[in-house]
Amino acid sequence: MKTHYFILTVIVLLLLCTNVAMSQTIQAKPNQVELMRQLIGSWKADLGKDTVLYWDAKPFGTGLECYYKSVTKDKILMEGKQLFGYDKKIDKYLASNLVKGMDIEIWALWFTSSNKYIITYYSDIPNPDKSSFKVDGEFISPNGYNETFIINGKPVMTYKYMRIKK
Amino acid sequence: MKTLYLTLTVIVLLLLCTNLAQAQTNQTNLNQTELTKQFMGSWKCDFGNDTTFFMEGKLYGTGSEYNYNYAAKGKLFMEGKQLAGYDKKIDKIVYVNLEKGKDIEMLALWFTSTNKYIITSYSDIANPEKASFKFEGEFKSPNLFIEKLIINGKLLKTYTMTRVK
Repeated sequence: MKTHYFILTVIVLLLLCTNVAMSQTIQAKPNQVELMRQLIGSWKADLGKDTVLYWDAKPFGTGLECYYKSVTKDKILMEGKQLFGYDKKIDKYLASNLVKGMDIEIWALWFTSSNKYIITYYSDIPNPDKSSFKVDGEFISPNGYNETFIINGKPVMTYKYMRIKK
Repeated sequence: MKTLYLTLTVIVLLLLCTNLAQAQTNQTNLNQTELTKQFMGSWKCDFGNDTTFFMEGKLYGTGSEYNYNYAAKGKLFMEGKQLAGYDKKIDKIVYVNLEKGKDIEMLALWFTSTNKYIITSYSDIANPEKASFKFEGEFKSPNLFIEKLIINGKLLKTYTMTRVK
């Protein structure tokens, strides 16, 4: 009888461990499409020296169409458009970034947790830490996120975005 | 004296050949950004079965953006967007295509002459002939272009796009 109880206890423990391991696996794979929705809305970041960056993201399918501009004293210094879309083959978002007057850039964005994400060049996806350009993003709240720009492995600046409207 | 003339003649001929070769190189060096402007405006293509494809191209900086949709009997059933721009590293137009309800696609377009172009997946740029899919496009006039869809090396369909405005 004792052996019976012992075997049953071991089975129950094993089942519990499997469940815990499974839930950890699920937690480790963020739902990129769901998390991306946090970025929908209008945002602004003060860049200092009377310069403000406005970033506007509208949903389109499972992607986002974005417009941004940096403004100093009502004068547009720079503006651009972006189109983000999910690519299930790599479980990441791809984006084309087109700054007026410049060449196009192809980026990848992916969440590494429910509130943290990485942006880097498409070509640098396999090794973002060795990329010449990387952005570490983090949502501080539903209405605020920070982006730290890392150039050649060194953080050079952090933009703090505040939500203007949903 | 004769040797001097011969040497001079050879030098002049060599210089002429070099200039000719350079001119030929420049001829194949097409201005991809400029040629892309041919797509600007509103276009439509009749697919048959009362289905029509509409596309509108607008310039944005040195790039361009496109909105398109498919409609059957006047009812919209699919729509998409594209954002395109020049990449000087590969001398091609790179763009992403996002259709509602589908994954994003990364594509490349490049003109091979002033009125002919190729579209393929970004990953197949190096060898478009071996790409699983390819479009061969040709502007027949400023108001009409055709696109041949080639899947696995075989012509599957030809689309005719006519300018609406």
